[in-house]
Amino acid sequence: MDDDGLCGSVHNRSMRKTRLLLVNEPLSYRDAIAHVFRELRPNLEVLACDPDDVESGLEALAPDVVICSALTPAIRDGVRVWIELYPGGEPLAVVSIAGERATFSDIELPDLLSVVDSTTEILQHNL
Amino acid sequence: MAEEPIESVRIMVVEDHSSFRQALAHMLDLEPGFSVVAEAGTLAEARKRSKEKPDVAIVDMALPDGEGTELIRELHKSGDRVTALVLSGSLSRRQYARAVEAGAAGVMHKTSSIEEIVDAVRRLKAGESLLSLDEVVALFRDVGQEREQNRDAKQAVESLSQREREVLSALAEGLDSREIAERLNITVDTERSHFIRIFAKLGVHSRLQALVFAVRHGIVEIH
Repeated sequence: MDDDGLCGSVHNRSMRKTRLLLVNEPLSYRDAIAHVFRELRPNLEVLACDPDDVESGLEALAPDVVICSALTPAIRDGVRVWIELYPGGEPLAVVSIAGERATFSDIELPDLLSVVDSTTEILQHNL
Repeated sequence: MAEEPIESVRIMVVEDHSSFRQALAHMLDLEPGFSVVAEAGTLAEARKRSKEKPDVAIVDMALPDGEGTELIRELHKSGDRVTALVLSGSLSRRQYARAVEAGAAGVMHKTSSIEEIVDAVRRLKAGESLLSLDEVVALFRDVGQEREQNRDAKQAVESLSQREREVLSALAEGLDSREIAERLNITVDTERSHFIRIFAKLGVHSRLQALVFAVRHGIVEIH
């Protein structure tokens, strides 16, 4: 059963689908990457929103992974895995998995897929 | 079974942010009637990959080895009938104007949605214009104004005497009026006369404005 929530419908957490939230800018980046994840990883729950819309609602969305372009304290402290993608338009990305950070100078689409796949594995092991 | 389109739109995506480029290329390739034939992250790569004879090139303006306008101009001159669509993260109207002048058929901001980008490619391939005649005229007017300003600035720079350049160089070192006079072995009154003439030639009204003009146009450097 779906519940209405921010960024469209939000599935019941008991299904344990990995929930990916994209709040990165500009819109074309967010749109393209969200489309690809929905197409290549149909087992994921993919939400894409304007960053301003989720500022206060991040806890309710409870994402497992966030892709953002401006890291906020709420994302940094409240999300297990996050990717800061092209902050300020710079060609780099910072990836944090359970507190372990790595910086990529030119992150590729397979890298993004791999981070989310790793998150799914972590979640499955933690079940 | 749906019929295959007779001829796909061959697309090249030129964008240095790899994950976005790859995602955009992937999505465009899934669109009926579209085929992404080349991807490039730099101007150099794009020049090589343009051998794939794309119909439409989606080009970012800010590339690591130059401006997208360079590529657009080359594609336009090549005679290969490549339609260029600029996808830029900049909101600078002058940058848009330069892209259109270089031969871009359309200019979009990166805040556009994928659907809007897909629609733009279809319209361009169908021979439609993304810009109205009024918009093109206004953009060309902007380019003309910019060029005129550059020409005026060049003439102003060329009109400066060697002594006036020395005065500006001393100013760029942070020297005050008395120090400049001492450095050039002239009186303070003469130093002021030099500045009056510099102001008139450069069309500025203060030492600060003169310094900004001099730095912007390469008359002096600040270390």
